[in-house]
Amino acid sequence: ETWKMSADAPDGNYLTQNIRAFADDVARLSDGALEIDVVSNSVLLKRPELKRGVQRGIVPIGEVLISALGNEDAVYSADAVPLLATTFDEARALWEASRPIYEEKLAEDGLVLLFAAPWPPQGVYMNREVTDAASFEGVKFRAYNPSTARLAELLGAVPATIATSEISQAFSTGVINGMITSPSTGVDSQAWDFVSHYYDVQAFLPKNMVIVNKGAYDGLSDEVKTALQEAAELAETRGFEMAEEATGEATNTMADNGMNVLPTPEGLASDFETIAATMRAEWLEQAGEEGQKIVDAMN
Amino acid sequence: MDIFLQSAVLVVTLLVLLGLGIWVGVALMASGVVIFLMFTSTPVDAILGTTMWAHSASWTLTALPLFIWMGEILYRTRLAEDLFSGLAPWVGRLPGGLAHVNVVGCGIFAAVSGSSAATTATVGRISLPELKSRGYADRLAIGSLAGSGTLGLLIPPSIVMIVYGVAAQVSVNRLFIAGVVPGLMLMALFSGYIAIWAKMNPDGVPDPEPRMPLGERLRRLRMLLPVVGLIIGVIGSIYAGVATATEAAAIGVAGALIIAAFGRSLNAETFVASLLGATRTSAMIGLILLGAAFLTSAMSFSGLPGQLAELISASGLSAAGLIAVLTVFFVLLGCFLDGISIVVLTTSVVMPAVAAVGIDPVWFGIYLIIVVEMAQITPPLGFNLFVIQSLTGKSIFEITRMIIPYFMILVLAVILLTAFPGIATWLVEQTI
Amino acid sequence: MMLTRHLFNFCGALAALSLLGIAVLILSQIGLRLMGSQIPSADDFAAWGLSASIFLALPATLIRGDHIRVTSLRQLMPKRLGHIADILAAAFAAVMMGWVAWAIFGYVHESWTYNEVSQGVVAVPLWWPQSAMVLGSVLFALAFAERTLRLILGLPVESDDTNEQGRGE
Ligand code: NA
Ligand code: NA
Repeated sequence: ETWKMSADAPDGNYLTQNIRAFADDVARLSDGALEIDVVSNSVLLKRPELKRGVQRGIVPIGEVLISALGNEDAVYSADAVPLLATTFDEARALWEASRPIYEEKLAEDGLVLLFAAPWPPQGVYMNREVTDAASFEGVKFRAYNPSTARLAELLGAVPATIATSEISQAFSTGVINGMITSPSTGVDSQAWDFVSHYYDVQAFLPKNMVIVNKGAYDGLSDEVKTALQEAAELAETRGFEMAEEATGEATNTMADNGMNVLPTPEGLASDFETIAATMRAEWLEQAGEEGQKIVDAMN
Repeated sequence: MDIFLQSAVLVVTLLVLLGLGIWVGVALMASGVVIFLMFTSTPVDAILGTTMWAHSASWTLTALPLFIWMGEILYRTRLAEDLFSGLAPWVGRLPGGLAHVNVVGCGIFAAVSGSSAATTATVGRISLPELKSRGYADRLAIGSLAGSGTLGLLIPPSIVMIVYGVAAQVSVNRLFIAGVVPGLMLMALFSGYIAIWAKMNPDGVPDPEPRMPLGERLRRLRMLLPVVGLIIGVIGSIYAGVATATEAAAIGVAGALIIAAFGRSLNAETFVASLLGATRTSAMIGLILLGAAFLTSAMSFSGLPGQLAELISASGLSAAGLIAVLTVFFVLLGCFLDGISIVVLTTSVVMPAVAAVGIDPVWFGIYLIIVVEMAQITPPLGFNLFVIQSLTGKSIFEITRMIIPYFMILVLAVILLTAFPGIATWLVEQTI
Repeated sequence: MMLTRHLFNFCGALAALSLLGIAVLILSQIGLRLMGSQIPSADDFAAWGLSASIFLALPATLIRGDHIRVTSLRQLMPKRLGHIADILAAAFAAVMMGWVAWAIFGYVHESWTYNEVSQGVVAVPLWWPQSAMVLGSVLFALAFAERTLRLILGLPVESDDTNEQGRGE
C-alpha cells in the first residue's frame, strides 16, 4: 500500500528531511508493506486545510503546526505560550504532558496522533536595536494569530497582519519593523537580506505533529501498525535531535551573513517575564482544566 | 507507461472539452475530475471543496480585481486619450509610434503588480481602444500587449517569484533584484521588434504625426500629469512602506477615483458601471483560476509533472543540456498548466538536479520565470490569451497567431540568459 | 425565467458590493496602520470578500456572455449542428457545475459540523464566509440549466449589458 503524505515545510527544512527519513523507516520496518510518498511544502493541502483533509481522507497522513489549531481549541496553543517551555528538555516535557490530551481530542475527530517534532526556539527579528519593552513603542510587529497579536500588544507594539509571502518586502519597505519566528525560518527566507537584528529570546518552541486518518490506520495489519509506531518513535527522537542541531546552525548562519545575533537584553528579559505571566494566565483561563493539567504535569 | 497514459488522457480530455466549446474553467475542472478518478484514490468531492475555498479566499489574489477595477475606472476617464495625445508628438515619429506605449506601460505597471493577468487586463483596457482608433494594426497592438503583459511576472514585485523563493528556499529580495535587468532587456527586445515590424509593414501603423513646435509638445506633456501622479502614488506607497504590494492595488483604485473626480467623469453611473465591469471580469478570470487550481491539485496527487521532471533530472545531462530539455518540458507543460502551478509542481523535484550541475538557484529562478511567462501566452491554456479575448472578442487562435513573434522573443531571452548568466546575477552581486 | 435573471443580477450586485468592501477594508487598514492601529484579521476578511465576490458574480457573468470559451470549432459548424453543440455544451456545464455545487455544499456543511474556525488573529466559524461559495455555485449551476432550457426553446441566452460593453474595438 502507498500513502500520500502532506509535509508542512519546504525540502531544505530539517522537519521535512525528518519526515522523509520517517517514510524510509516505515518502508524498511514494514518490509515494503507500507510506502509513504511524501509531498513537501504544503503542496497537497495548505496548512489551514491539513487537519480536516486528513479527517476527510484526502490524504491518509499529514503534518501540521499544532498551534495552528489554537483557535479551534486553546489547549492546542500550549507550545505557543511564552516561557512555558524554553529549552528542548522543557519542550519534551511539555510534549509528554500534552500528548495524552491531544491524542484523546484527535481520536474524537477520527485521527491518530503519531509523533511531533519541534521548531527551534522562537526569537525576535527587529530592524533596530531594542533594550526593553519600551523600545517596542509604536513598532509595527507582525501578528499572525491571537497569541502573537496579544504579545505585540503587551510589548506596546502595534500588531500588523502581514501574509507570510509578503514578509521580506514588508520588512524592506518598513511596513513592519519586527516579528517573532524561529531562526530556521529566518535562514529559509534569508532574513539577512531584509532585517538587521536577531534577539534569541527563546520565547517558546512550537511543534509540528503528524496525524493519521483513523480509518486508514485501522485498515493496516497489526505488523504494519507496529512498524508505523516504531518509525514514529524513531522520528520523534530524531526530530528533537535535528531541531537542536538546526538551531545552532541556523543561528550561526545568520551571524555569518552579517546579522546582529544577540541574547535577550536584560531589560527586555524582565519585561518579558511579566508579559509571559500575563499570557500564561490568559491561556489557562481559555484552556481550562486541560491546560492546568498540562502545566501541573510539567512541574 | 502510466506517465504516458496519463499525459495522453490529460491532453485529449482537455482538448476535446475545449473544442466542444465548453467554458474554459469548466473544462479544466472536468479534466481534473477525470485525472482524479482514473489515476488517484483521493475522494474527489472533498478535494474540490478544499481547492475552491483555498484558492478563492486568497489574500494575495485580492490585488487582481482591484487593479482590474482601477483599469475600468480609468477607461471611463479621459486619461487614456490624454496619455496618448501627450505622448504622440514625442514618439509619433519613432518606428512603431505609440505601440511602444504597450511595452512601457506594461513595464511600469509590472513594477506595481505581481501578476501578468492584472498587467495585461489593466494596460490593455486603456491602450487597446486608443491604438485601434489611431489606426494601429490589431496584430501590432494585441501582440505587443500579450507579450509585454508577461513582464508582470519578471519585474518585481512578482507572485511567481515569491512562490519559487519559498519552494526553493531562495531569498525573495534577491530574486526581485535579479528580475530587473532581464525585465528591461525584454522591454528593449519587444520595442526593437515593434520598430522593425513597423518599418517592414508601413500599412500597419498610422502616418507619422506632423511635426509640432517644441513649445506645443511641452505643453502637451502636461496631459501626462494624472498618469505620472498615479504611478508615483502607487509605486511610492510600496517603497515608502505605507502599503504592501497587495495593498497598493487599493491605493490604485483610490487614485483612479480621484483622477476621475477631477476629470468630472465620476458619477454614480460610471462608478457602478466600473465596479460591475470589474466584478464580472474578475469572476471570469476567477473561474479559470479555480479550474486551473483544481487541475493542478489533480496533478499534485497523480504526480505526473513531478514524475516527468524526475525523468529529466535523472538523465544525467550537463547544465546546458538540462536547461535545453527543461525548457522544452516547461513550454509543453505551459500549454496545459498556468505559470504558478508549474513552479509549485516541479520546483521541489527539479532543484536537486539543478543544484547537482552547479546552476545558481537565483539564476534558475529568473530562467524559470521567463519560461513561465511563455506559458501565459501559449494555447490552449494561456491566461493572457483569455484576458485579451475578453478585451477584444477575438478568438484564441487569432490572438495566438499575433503573439508568435513575442513568444520567439521570450525564447531568445532564455538563450541570451543562458549564454550570459550575468544578465540575472550581476545586479544582485552589485547590491547585496 | 425573468425571475432567475433578477436573482442572478441581484447576486452580481452583492458580488460588486463585496469587491467595494475589499477596497474600503484595505484602505482603512493602511490608514489605521499609519495611525498606529489595525483591523485584526483584515487579510482574512479581504480574502473572504474575494471568494464571495468571485462566486456570487459567476451567474451574472454567464448571462452576459463574459465567461471565456473556445469557439473556433463552433464557428466552422453549420447552423443546426452548431445549435446542437451549444445545447450539449450548456448541458454538460450544467451537470458539471451541479456536481461542483453539491461538492461545495458538502464541504461547507462539513465546516459547520467540524466547527472549523479561521486560524488568524480573529477566530470566525468558517462556514459563515464559505456560505457565499454555496450560494454562488448553486446559482451558477442553475444558470447553466436555464441556458440549456432557453437554447432548446430557442430563446436568447445572453443579455447585453445595458451599460457600456467596453470591448476594445
Ligand atoms: Na511585477
Ligand atoms: Na499556456
